Amino acid sequence: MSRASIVERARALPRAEIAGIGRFTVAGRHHDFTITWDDLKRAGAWHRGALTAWGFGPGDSVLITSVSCEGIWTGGLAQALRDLGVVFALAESYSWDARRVGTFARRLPLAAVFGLGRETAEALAATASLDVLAPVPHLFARPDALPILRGADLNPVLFAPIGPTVAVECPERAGGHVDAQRWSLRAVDGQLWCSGADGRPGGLFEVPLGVGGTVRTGRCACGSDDPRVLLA
Amino acid sequence: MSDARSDDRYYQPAAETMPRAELEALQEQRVVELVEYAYERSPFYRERWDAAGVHPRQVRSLDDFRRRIPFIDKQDVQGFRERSGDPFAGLLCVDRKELTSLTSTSGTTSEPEFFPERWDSAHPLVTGTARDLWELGVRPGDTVVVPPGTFRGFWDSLFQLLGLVPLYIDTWIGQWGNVLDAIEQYRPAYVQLLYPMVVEIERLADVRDVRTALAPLKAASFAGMPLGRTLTAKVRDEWGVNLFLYTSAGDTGTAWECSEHDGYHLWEDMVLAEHLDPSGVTAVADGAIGELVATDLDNITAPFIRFRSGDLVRLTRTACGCGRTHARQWPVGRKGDETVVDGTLVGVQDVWDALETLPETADGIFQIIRPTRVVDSLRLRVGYTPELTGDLVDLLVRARDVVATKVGVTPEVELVPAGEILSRSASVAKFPRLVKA
Repeated sequence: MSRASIVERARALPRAEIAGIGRFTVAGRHHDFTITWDDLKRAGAWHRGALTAWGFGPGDSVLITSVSCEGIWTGGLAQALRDLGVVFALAESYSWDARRVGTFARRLPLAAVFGLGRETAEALAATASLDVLAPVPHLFARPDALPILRGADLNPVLFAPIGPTVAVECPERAGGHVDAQRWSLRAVDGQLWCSGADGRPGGLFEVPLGVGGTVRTGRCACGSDDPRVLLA
Repeated sequence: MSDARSDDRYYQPAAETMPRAELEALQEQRVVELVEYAYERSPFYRERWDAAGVHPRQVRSLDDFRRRIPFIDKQDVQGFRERSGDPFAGLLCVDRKELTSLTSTSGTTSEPEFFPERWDSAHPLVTGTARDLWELGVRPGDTVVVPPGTFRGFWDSLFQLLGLVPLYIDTWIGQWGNVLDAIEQYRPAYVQLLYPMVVEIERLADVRDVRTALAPLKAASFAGMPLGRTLTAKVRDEWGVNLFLYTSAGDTGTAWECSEHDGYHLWEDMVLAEHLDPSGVTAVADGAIGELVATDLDNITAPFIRFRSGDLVRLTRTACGCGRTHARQWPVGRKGDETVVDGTLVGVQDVWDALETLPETADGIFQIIRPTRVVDSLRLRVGYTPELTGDLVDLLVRARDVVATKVGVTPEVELVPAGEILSRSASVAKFPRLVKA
């Protein structure tokens, strides 16, 4: 078929040296970083571990709410979902797309929503009702959405894009895990700082993330040795 | 389909320049297979075709297909979904567990409808643009800016597959000062524009040299809603951007301009494009205005078969100057978009043409307010550029006059800052031109 032949043709093309260039912005300052092919593979593996801890598997359907520049984490998450046989739906995390979130939640037995943010939560609350999310077992929400969702008697799980990475709570609910193989986070005077864990030349080093919190190390009861971020 | 030829202009030379007779033979083969396949697997099509007394064994050719297979439209799909409770409206031809992803329609005029997808490398809609991106001039090793919008799929996986380097920067409204900086820094080959972004760059042009900032681009694409003549000329001529417009291929994929900028190519190995009388069943003449009726030829997950898209297009099957043999379309509007004002037909484009002549409203951001298609008076909500606007009363009079002169009906005009209309947008790509209030 035609699209299969398009993909086949693409596989014969030379691969780019890197998989992408990511960016995050703190207090108006941009921090750019290289995404290698190994990084991409690692991101998929790490998210797969995080999803497995929650028991996602074949037959589940989930919704990802994001914006396109967040590919630095959606790429790994989407790869992991595909690896696990989980069907993922897509919606924007802007307020104007909240109706799409509601439509998916109403029509599908969603097992989870990932990346649920303040704009979506507020828009749903204003235009329809957050009740539409009540049947969804797992709401992986951004920090700015947590109080809104809790205020509606929902029980969100922390899912925090911070800097170049994302912190995701495990079922122990004791802070958001961050991939220690890729990133090193530490707290200085209650503020989080980030460096690349591998010390690669030109990589990120001691970058303030503009996020208050602490970092808890040591093995989590879930079995992961990844550090956990507790946001202020 | 072998694509071993090395002509660098084409991504798949054999497929893109296939002689019409071969293309039609391929379509016939795929249609015959598709009808049998869908009848066996899709409750929606089985119900409709049974009701019409059609069985796949009666469809052995394109002529049979055109003569026997019933049309469908969005209301049919919605109706089946509501009646059956099936979120996929009976269109799904594979087991749900085989799906990879679900994307959806823009939802500009009604609730989004799902596109169930099954894929290995990149979302199907996105994958279908590889030939077009190649025509834009992007090549392995180029950096490209990840387009805004995710609801029709992530683009980065296709970019990576094509040997491109995705640049993950925020290109949403309000970010284009940063985007221009990033373009100067990373010199990407490609960026996607939407209407609000073009308007924003226009504002930035007052304070910086956008032509220099955009110079590294090989090309930019634009989709979502018509850009209008004034802004298209501005992007191409003033800013020096090689701009390629694209549009929907009747919800089966996309159709892009090539370098000839003479119509939008439909990839007819992926879509069977019928071009019919909008209120009937007969084909209209090549080049005339007709409704695009689309059939997925490369979608075995949830294909549209004889889908009346409601898109009014001019369409030709004559070969393009670029050498491609696939049909080209020119969108002219949506079926039912004309408003009947006290017996006079008023088209969206007519109003647009009028408002484009005033500097304050040249961006063409306006809405026709109509509770029903037939109204007693023409009511317009017109967006103006505050920076260019002095006396609002004076603008109101001029806006009313230019529209009255163009359409023959004097409108009631409500002026609002253009950003207010854009901020109410229910889509990443477009805002509704027709609203009830």
